[in-house]
Amino acid sequence: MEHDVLKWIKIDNSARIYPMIYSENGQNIFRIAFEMNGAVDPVILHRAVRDVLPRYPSFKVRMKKGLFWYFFEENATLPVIFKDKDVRLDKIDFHANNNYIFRVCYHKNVISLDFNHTVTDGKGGVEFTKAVIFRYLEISGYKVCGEGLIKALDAPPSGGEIEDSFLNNYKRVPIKDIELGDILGKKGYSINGAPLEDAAIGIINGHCSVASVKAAAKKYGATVTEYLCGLFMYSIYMTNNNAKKRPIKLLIPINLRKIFNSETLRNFSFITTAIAEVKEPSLKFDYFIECVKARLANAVDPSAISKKVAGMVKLDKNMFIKLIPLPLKFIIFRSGKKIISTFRSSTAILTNPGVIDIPESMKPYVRHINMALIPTQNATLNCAVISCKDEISITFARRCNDVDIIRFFFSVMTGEGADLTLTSNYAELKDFSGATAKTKGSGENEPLL
Amino acid sequence: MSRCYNCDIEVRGEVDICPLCHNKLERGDDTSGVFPIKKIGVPLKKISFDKIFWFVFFNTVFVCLFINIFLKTYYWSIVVAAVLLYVYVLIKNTILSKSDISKKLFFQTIVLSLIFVAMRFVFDGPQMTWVFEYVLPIIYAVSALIYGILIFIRVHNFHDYIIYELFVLLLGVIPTVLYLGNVIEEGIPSFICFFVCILVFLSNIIFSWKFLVTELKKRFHA
Repeated sequence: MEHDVLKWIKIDNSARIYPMIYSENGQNIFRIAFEMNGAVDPVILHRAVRDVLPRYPSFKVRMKKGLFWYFFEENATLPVIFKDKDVRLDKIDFHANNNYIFRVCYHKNVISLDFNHTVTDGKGGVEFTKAVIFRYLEISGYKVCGEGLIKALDAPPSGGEIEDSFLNNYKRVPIKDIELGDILGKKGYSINGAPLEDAAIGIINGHCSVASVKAAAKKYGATVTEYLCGLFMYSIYMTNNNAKKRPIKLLIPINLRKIFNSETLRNFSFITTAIAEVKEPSLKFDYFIECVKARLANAVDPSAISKKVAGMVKLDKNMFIKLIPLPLKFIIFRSGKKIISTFRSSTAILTNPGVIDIPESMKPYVRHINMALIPTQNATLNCAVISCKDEISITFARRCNDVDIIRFFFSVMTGEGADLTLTSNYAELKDFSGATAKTKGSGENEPLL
Repeated sequence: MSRCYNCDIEVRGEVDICPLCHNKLERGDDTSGVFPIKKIGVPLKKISFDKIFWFVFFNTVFVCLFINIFLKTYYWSIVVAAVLLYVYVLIKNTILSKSDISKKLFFQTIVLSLIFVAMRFVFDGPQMTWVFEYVLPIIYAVSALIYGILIFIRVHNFHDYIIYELFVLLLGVIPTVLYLGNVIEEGIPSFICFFVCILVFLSNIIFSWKFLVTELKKRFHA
């Protein structure tokens, strides 16, 4: 009776409470998708994932329950390759996926990887997806070279890649200086509206040249992220009269790797909140950009970040919290989340992991890259931005039927010179005369959008 | 690619209507879709197993309780309710559940124990001592044996089984403790159960000591 001792790691500091506050039906998922030039071969994709996984041990895991916390244990099996369904960003069925916490899907010429946030954040997900796509192209027989942008599969993973960077960058800070982030504060405006039928998630993706967005941002003296965040808030303000009663609170994840010089592939980001008080009538776009600018400038200040990191780690190091049994933690954290989201809810999330560097030799085989972030019950409309190959991709994922905010957002962009191309996963079937049309071939009545 | 002149955008995919303004698109050549399009029809409303079960459960229990009270016999309707509840657990958490076998076995062990112990206290009397003397030792011994066999034949799932097995082994000691404490009179089934549990535990220690320690470290990390 011989067997190997499976390796295990603690879930990183920021993600440790995710499995407790999110049920299996409401997982915190984001998707990174590569649109290839040719149709995807699922057999080759499976081989690519199989080859890449050992190089990325923090992804080759399954989640298990301990007495006090969840933990990751090495997964001895391989993930399943799924054909993409019409329900996008659907929960990951761990059982059907050999207990992997990320999911690999394909549809025609698109390869998509859905990550549960417990395993990694946007930047880590991008690195892993790049490696899978690179290996996929290699096995397919294309001549591609890593050019230092893809981790060599025969090199052992470095300790830094699987470290918990929150713990490694934790410095003791007096309790009075610890910042609890934006947990405290006013309740933000919530985007409400009739949900899409079947509780589906509507995705509208727009892509255009980075140069056009940079040029537009430059007019306001802003970066691309500041411009897009400001525009998102402005769109909410302009299309919702009720938004004028409560502040618009936009959550913006900040990647901490550059600030702390970390190469971890696990979670290492925290969320800052751009808040715009909107009681004044006739606010201009500039106001929202200034709100974002002010917030982001403060958010990337190393001493402020250290205080926030200290706050997160301190909570985790607290012996009282540590020793609460897992079932009790479930009740406490889930109730805490409900209370906070009821009284301190935010309006939306905009994430921008930035520019994805892919090797020049890969570029001819990759048509577009996009990212999507699951909308939650509170933030019913989220936006994910990603750039690659001089192209920026902006993806809105929504639970509500209404597309006014998205329409306004893109109309401002086109008005400022962006050459937008859109894709939607949801059949808009109301024609211009207002009559309900029928889906091609389905013969079923479709909802009005 | 199709074009919406109203929004001044290109639209990809097999759609006729602009996703933003809902005006008709001018269809281009390439209309291949990037996303699988969500087509929504009228979903068939399925009646869940839970609804059917609870309907049957409450009707059956009320009828039995009514007859029970009318006939003025002992409360046999409680047994009916207990058996139905067990059937529910059996179907829901064992047959339909996707959990692995170790969880199912553990759940069955606990639920069966609870049902018999509850019956022992509801129908308190000398005729019910068999619950502690025979039923519980048999349940724990069989459960421990199954865990022992599972671990032996499905070595790679050791880490999935071991914690549940340890709990069952601990439960297996209870009948012997009850016998030594003079709560029950018949001791042979309890001793057999104890012996089986010790045997299974020793086999874990001898064959998988290193693994056992690692597993305990994982499970109890704070």
